Amino acid sequence: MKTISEINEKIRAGSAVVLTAEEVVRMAREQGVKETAKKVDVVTTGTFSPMCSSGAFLNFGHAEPLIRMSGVKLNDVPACAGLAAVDCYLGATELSETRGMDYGGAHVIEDLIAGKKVHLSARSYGTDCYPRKSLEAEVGLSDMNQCFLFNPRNAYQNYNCSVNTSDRIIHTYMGTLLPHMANATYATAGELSPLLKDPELRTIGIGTRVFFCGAQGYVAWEGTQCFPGYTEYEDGVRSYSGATLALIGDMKKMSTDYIRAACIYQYGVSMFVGVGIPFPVLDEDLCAQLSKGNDELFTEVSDYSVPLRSRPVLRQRVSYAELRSGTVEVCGKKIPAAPMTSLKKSRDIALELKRQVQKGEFLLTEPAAKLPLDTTKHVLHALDDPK
Amino acid sequence: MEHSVKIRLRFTPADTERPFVHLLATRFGLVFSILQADISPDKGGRMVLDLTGEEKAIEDALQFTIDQGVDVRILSRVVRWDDKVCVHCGSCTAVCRTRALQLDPETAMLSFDNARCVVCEMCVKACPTGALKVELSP
Repeated sequence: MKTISEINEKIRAGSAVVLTAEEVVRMAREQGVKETAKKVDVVTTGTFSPMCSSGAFLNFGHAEPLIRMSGVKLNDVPACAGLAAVDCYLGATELSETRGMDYGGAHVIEDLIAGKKVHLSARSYGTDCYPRKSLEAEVGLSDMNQCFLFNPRNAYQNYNCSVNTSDRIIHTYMGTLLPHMANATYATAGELSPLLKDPELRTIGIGTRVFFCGAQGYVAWEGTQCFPGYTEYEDGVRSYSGATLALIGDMKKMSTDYIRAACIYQYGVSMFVGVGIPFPVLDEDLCAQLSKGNDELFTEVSDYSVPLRSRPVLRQRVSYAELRSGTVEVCGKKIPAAPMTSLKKSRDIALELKRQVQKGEFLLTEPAAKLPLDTTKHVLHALDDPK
Repeated sequence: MEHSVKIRLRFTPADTERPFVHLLATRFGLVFSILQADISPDKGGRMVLDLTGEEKAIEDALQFTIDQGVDVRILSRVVRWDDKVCVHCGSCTAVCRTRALQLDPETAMLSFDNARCVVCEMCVKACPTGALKVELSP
């Protein structure tokens, strides 16, 4: 019906009709999918959630005398320096050697994006071409060369809702779970969540431009553990899950409005990452997916007191509308449900992306290659695996 | 001048047989609201009260409580919410039993109602950004 280049022409001309995912859900309910598909060109999405698989490549520039850094710490947080002389990769969940779980790689990344200087401490064994053996410096983003986030797994398509059936409190990456199923947590922005809106990845692929922590970033690859699939319920409704994205973007253009460090009690450090994807409304089929509301999007409830690869599923199908109501029914018990994903920030991202597309500042992209839909899931067999 | 103080009372099973809160209210002319109560006759339990009244009346009431052998603690700590640091994720609402912390269903923004807070401090640990802290009350 429409092509991406036609939509981009409209964006350039300032005549594209752009709605957020929440707005398109309302419009489709009032006017029908057919009318909506005709009228709307772009739908913007957003999510702001802890995404552990995040980190930054940093290049410090060369010092005099030269050093080939073999050990790098930033504000006492170790980075991986097993790269060329002054390159490193700082993982978001790496903990400070002096402050433990109160400060980690994510905080260094946030401090840098906030414009602060961080303390660089580097060690080396010294070589003929790189004789220096140690270096201390204060560095900020503007002092360095290329600094880009490269997050191997972001924007999880869907995620389970967590409860704890044991008789003790547990502290998980899904937050504090009270004993005897006294609460539930969930971590998806529902109808605003990017990959739930194009569940078969028709328009997203390698090279897709995305809103990434305030900058324009790109899909670099399929995310790690990207296993796209769906569950089909008895009534034929499908619930998609499993797709993930590897994202890349310039840290120097990011804003702490859209990326923040997170301390998850007794679990460790993570990073709230803000991602928004604009979707072209190519045809009615895609528009129907984009128009799915919280009452048509589902997840399952899992028991996090069982730390196994496949946790017991206590309820196969729960809608985001129910979770969003603040109460969820599990095993006949009504319990409070709380999000880990900021709906406020997710909405802010979808609105900001809408503004940028309307202004012609953000154009849509034709992916350079499709993401694979047939990935195989492997598990790790430890030497002490029980037979 | 009117004062307000939050206290936590812990009752033994024997304590539960006396009309203790009734005595506090009638003898000392205090206005009280029960913020949290979990008491059963066989096990005893705990109660968090907000007392408002003249300073002298509150002091006398606390002395009365001690004299009656009821374990009492003044909740001198308060939870502070910094909305500039908050990202409105809602993680704290998972552990807030009194619903002092709530997400607005329309704006999706967090709100904190200090009057409902029983200073259990669960939210302080649950907050990923350090937006909730405990302080000594003024």
